[in-house]
Amino acid sequence: MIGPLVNGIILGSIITLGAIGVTLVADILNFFNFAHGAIFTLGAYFTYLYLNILPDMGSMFSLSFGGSMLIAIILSMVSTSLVVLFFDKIIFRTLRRRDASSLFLALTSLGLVFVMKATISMIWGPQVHYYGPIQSAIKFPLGIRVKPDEFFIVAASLILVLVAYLFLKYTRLGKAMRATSDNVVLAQASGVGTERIVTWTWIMSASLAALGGTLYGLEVQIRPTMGWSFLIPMFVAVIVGGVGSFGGALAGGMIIGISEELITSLLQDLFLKLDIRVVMSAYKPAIAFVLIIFVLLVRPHGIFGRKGG
Amino acid sequence: MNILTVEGVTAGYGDMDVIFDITAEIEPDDLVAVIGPNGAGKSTLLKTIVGAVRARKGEIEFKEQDVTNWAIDRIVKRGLSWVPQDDHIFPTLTVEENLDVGAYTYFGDYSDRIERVWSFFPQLKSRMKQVAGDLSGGQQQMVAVGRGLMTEPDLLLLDEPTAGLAPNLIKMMHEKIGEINKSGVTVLLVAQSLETFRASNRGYLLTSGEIKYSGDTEDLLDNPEVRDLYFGG
Repeated sequence: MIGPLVNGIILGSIITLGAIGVTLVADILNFFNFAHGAIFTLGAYFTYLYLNILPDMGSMFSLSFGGSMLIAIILSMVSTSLVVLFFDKIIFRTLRRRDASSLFLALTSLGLVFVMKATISMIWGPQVHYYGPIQSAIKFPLGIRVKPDEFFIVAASLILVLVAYLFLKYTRLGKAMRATSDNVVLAQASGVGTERIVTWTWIMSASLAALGGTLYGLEVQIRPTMGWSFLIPMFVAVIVGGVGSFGGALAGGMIIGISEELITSLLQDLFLKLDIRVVMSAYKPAIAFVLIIFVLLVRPHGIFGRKGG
Repeated sequence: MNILTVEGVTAGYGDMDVIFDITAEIEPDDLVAVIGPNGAGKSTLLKTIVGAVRARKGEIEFKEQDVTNWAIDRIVKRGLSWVPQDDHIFPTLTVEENLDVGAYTYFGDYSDRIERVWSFFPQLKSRMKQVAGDLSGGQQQMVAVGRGLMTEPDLLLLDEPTAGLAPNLIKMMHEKIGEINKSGVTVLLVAQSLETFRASNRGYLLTSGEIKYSGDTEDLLDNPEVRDLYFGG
């Protein structure tokens, strides 16, 4: 039980990073960005690119990487943000100016997924990549096995989530972003320029996705479809937590991560006892969907969402 | 010299015009009311002035500058503040955060502005950490006007500031609007009731998107046609 719980926290912390980006765009730009998974993937590949360009700085503590990885992550967050802003300027801003509906914006983002996935495959190839050698796990009591990199994954996720929260809660720009998500016209009537808010929403969303992609790549591997398979848990986390709710994205991410790991582990044990041969990890997305149905039946606006929001 | 001049403005939504050839003048320190029946175009006039609705014809001059169809955030930076009738607060933000966003255009220390809002609406100070969406209608209206004051506007547009309020709150709001005006803020408001209209110095009567009468409040109230048209005799 404890082992899957730990795995769930690791997975949940990565889902949360992605979910915050999804919920910000959904709330402020008013559409579900299907390209968020591809942005997540792009971030992972940018880190891989910079890691190969930067000089090797050795490894830190017991981690599989060192300072060059940290620099690569920062460069990746900047690069991913710039690419996303480019897409916004040439596609989404044009659509906004034409008063395109949320559905149209979402469908456009879905089209962008295929463009980005194909471009990533063309540049880096369809094969999997790794940031470094595969680490062996440290054994703890109660059968818990954790790789040193996984401590970094959870810590980095929590720090970035905290930074994002403090930014939105206490800074002038963060309050303006929340105000814009509440009421665009009233925010404008307070002197808030919407396009500036849109730009910062994309930057925050893309930066968190780039970090999430890198951490997932660190945990598993880098492949062109990695973000696509992660999109469902990210969307489910947002809907379960409540669209537009920062706390909801955090709680939703953790709920999805932990329940996916715990439930698959429990069912796997059960099927083993019943001598039924099933690989339960393949059914993780099904667990996410069951969760979403259950939560929406009980609380249609999500756990932390507001009615009508 | 006028602080606001509206000259022959026609505006509306979609293919339909709602206000036609409106001409109005507001002098500094004035407290002017726009009255008229429902659907007369009162709110549309305010929205057109602030840039939330595009003017199809005519010109709007604010502080000697043509501001016709400026973006809302740009016109706000020039010193015009607008408190809409509906959706006039940020419901998920606290009272204090609503005021913070109101001061968005100002980069310095704005604690004196917040103190000024507390001086007008002392009831809000004890609720500053409360989420604005959880407040009563009257308190939300105070937050809305307070947010509008945070830009330190030269001209404050208030769209039906007493709509839906209890009679004692309506009286209080009239007093506050009077105090705000006396503190040097020119006010243009949409009045829903005779009491609110009485609180103004001058007025415009709008019917079917056109100005039918304008003048001093007392003169308009003495006009039997105005009384028949709007106040029911």
